[in-house]
Amino acid sequence: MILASLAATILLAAPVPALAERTERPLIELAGGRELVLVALPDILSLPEVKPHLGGGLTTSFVLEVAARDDRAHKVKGRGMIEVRYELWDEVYLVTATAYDGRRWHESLSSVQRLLAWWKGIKLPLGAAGPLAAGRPWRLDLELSVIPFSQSEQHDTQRWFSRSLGDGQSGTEPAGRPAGAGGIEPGGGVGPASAAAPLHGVLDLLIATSIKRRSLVSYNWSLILRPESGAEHRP
Amino acid sequence: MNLKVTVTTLLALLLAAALVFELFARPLSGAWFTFGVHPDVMAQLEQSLADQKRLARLDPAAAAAYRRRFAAAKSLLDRLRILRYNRAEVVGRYHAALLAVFGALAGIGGATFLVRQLRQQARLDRLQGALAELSAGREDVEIGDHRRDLIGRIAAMIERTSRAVTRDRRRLASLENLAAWQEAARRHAHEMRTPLTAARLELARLRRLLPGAVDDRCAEEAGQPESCLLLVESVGQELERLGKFTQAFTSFARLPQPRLAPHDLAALAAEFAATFAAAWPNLKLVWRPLPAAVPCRAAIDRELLRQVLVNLCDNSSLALGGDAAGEMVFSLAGSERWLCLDAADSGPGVPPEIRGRLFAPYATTRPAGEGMGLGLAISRKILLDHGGDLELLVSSPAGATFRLLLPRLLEPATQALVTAPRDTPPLDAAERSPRVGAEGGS
Repeated sequence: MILASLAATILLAAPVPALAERTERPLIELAGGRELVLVALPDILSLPEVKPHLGGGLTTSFVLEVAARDDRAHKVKGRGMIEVRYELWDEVYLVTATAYDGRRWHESLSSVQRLLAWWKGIKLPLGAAGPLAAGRPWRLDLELSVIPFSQSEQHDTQRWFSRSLGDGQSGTEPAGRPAGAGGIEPGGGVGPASAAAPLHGVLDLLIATSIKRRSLVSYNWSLILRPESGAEHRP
Repeated sequence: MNLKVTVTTLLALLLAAALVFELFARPLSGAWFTFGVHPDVMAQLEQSLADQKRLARLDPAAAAAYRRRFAAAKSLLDRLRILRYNRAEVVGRYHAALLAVFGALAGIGGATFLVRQLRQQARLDRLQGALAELSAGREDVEIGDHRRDLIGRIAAMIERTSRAVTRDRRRLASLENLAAWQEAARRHAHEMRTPLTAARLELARLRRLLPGAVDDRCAEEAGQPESCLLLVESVGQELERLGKFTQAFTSFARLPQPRLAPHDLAALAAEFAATFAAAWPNLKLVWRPLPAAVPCRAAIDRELLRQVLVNLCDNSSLALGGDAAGEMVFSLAGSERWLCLDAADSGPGVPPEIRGRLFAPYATTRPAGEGMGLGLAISRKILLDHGGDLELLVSSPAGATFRLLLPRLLEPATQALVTAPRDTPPLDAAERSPRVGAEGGS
């Protein structure tokens, strides 16, 4: 048992060994007997690979993806997203949390301390428990990806870049998009504005497929959730 | 060029082009991007954001305007940051696109070059095969490559050479054949002339003796002196006919060599049609002049050429028969090197059974004793002695057309081609078309 736990720990820590040591563990609970709710997140925001992006004005997206399965091989998947954008004019952090079912919560936080406090106290539904068998431990694999800009910002840049290269115009839109929009797309889908963006020709295809939302960094945890007692980190 | 060498050269060229492309395209692909997201630009934009905020604080009344400028600058800054974040992907994709375009162009160019080389190789192989056939003595070599490039021109030259060789070979064979016939005719004439002369002399003596001997001998044999006279006259007529045949043999055997002088063939043909307009009662001579006055000069013996035309008209008139009427149309066509005078009649045409040996001596459709069948042989010999030829171009129940080929006298000022008259194929086409009875070997 000890050997197995040790091996599992080494295996889990392998992708991001340094991060595993620097961060705490997230916590997921079963709320109301039907929802997997994230109730605690490690302090990712203070890490050096994340912190510089928070104050730049772009929307930093934290994409949470959870895969849960019980010992009968029932599986469920869930997803949530937290987006943080520092509003440079008003000097506030605009935060949006999006649950797996599209529910959203908005916050405007005046300082980084308040942001950190909000982060620690977050409660975000990530998925429905569905067919998972109650009364038996569930294994949860949680992945947190940090993306330095939102999908709408990505599409906005694609349009602007394509227009700039395509017809030689400046590509500057009138006063840009509203500063407070944040570009948060519910459920991580493509927003209406970007869907309507005209893509013309090979150049557009080239641009559209080259500007991507690569993860800045990602963290993985394996958790054990006992439905009657809440989740705990796998020993 | 050897295919292996071609492919190797092509691959080496493509490789060199790809290396040069890589050397220059990779740095250039990233250069434009570097200018776009230059740190100085981004630093200026960040400074601009700070300035707008400071200005808004200092001038609250215009805060809205400053905020709009702030939003525009920030939007640009955000886009540049996203671009910079995706620098590797954008530059890589741009480079890949350039590489794909380069590869496509190089591939298309290389494939085109290779296909072209293969086709040219195939054409050269055909030329080689044609030359091999030509050198092996094959006649009428056809390559069928009529493009206007160098290979096509060489192919056309080989075909022309083949046709010229074929023509000369046929002319030579015809001349040799005619020479043999001439020699035979000369000997026949020689052998016949002496006994014929003796027979004539004896007959003359008989005529002188006949009035005194009637009572003694003829009266005893025939009973009447008038019968003896008739017999003598009949023998005399036969000897006269034999004399004509011998004379014909002699004429054929001693055909004079043409005394060539430059003449305008069109003028000669027009003159012949006018002079001999009434020579054949059942034959109307028609001359179709050229649409434009183009010099058609050739080295011609006027008298011999006239003899040829007379022979043709004689034949046509006889073929029509005494009661029927027809016409003989003369027209002129030609190329840069040749003139062809066509004589087309409206007679019954040449019977198929004789076409193959039409120009051979003694080939005739007339009853025995009415013609020697030497006219066309003599005519052809005359044309061959001119460096030309005589051929039956067309023969049908509607008429026959004979073509007189004569080498054109080239003059610098008259290089323009003669326009072909209606219904008259140009010389090259006529040369390529199978001749009807042109071979006189029998």
